[in-house]
Amino acid sequence: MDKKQNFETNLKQLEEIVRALEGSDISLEEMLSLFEKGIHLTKECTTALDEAEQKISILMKNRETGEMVEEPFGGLGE
Amino acid sequence: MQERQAIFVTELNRYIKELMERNDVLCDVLVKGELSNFKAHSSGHMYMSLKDEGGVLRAVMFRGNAAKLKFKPQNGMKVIAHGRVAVFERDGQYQLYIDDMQQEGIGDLYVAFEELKNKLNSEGLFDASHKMPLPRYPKKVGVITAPTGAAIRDIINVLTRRFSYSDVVLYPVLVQGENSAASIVEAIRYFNMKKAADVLIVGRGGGSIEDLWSFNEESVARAIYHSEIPIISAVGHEIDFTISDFVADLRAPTPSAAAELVVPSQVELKEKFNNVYNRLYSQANRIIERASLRLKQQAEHPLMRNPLSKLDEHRMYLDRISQEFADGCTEILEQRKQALKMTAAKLDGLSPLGTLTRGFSVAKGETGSVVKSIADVQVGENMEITVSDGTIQTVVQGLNGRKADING
Repeated sequence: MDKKQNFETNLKQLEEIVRALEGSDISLEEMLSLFEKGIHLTKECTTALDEAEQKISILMKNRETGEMVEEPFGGLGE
Repeated sequence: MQERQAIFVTELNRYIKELMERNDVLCDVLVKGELSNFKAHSSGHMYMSLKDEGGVLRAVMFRGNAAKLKFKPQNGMKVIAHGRVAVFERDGQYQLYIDDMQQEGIGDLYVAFEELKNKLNSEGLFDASHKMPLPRYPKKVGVITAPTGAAIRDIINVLTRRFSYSDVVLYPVLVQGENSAASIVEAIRYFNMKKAADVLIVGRGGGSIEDLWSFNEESVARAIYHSEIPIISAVGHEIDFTISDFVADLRAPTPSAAAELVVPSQVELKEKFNNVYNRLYSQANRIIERASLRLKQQAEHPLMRNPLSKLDEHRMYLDRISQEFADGCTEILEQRKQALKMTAAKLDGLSPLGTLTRGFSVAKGETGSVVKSIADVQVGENMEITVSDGTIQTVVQGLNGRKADING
């Protein structure tokens, strides 16, 4: 879950960096640090997507407690 | 009989046809009856009879209208058909040309649908301002539908193929029948209470208007409206519109379309990352190029190429200034010299030495003072007379006053 939290923040940051780099008023030093950060974030995001393992579950009512419980859903067989 | 002119069958049929065509009732008639002898021809036209206890009416529905039907007509089905009655001249038969047909009883549902739609609309449940934007990258997609059937299968297939990043959690519900609306409402509430998803898909596959009816229920509409999690409504096919569609944050034409709408495509997203990567590079390059161009411009400045040139310039200036200063001094000196000469000449005119050269002389007594009067000396006194080229020593022999002065 933490990884996924990061993905969103990383993406948002990445978009901001690209915007900043496309602006005209930026010093060479700023550019270099943004660039470095941007490349790093791109890699992180790509890796997050590559490593994401999709979980497909179904909510089932626990007979004893009456609570809904997530269970793996494999009901796609035909 | 003989005297009267006989007409052809065709003429009579045409006459009757025209007679019926001019009749307002027959041109726009709503007929209730039971379907029989139904036949869907391969051409797309439908041929059938409408019957009740008292009689039978032949009917036809042409392809264009037949394609728009929202149900599959079957023998024995009670229907309400709209159309016009006209004569088929070739057979000498009149028949109903149907342009629209509904199952009987469904008409009431349409009325209920329209009424609820108007009511909720006036309450503001469909307001665009209330609609929430969907999260761009949902971590968890909640699906409220039947655990079996095409809808859930399509949704999961699309979500798996498109964006494996999002988890999917299904809340199984009844999607038709008496308890269906209540179970859908409960599912929506569950997800909201537990904050168990970032976005919800509520829907089911295609069916008759009765099958889809749960999604026209007021309770479902209100649950969707009050959900704090954005909801995509995906009920039936493209042509089916339900109240849920109007109140949801987004309407998807089908369940699989809902899955397409709810997550981005992983392939496109990766492409986007690639683009970002490239853009970062090109932007960085651009900035570096701009900086190096500026550097080059500075380096090409004459001063940077020959830093001593400025010094030379200064030196030359100094030379020029000092030359000018010297010239100025000489000139002033010259002017002064000239002025001096002129003054000297003037002085020259005034000097007694000049007078001496013209033949005058200066006499001085023993005291050394210049003799201006006979009273200044006495007889026998030594005198010195200065002339232009020297002095003469002499003695005073006598003193004679000028007669005029003595007399006067």
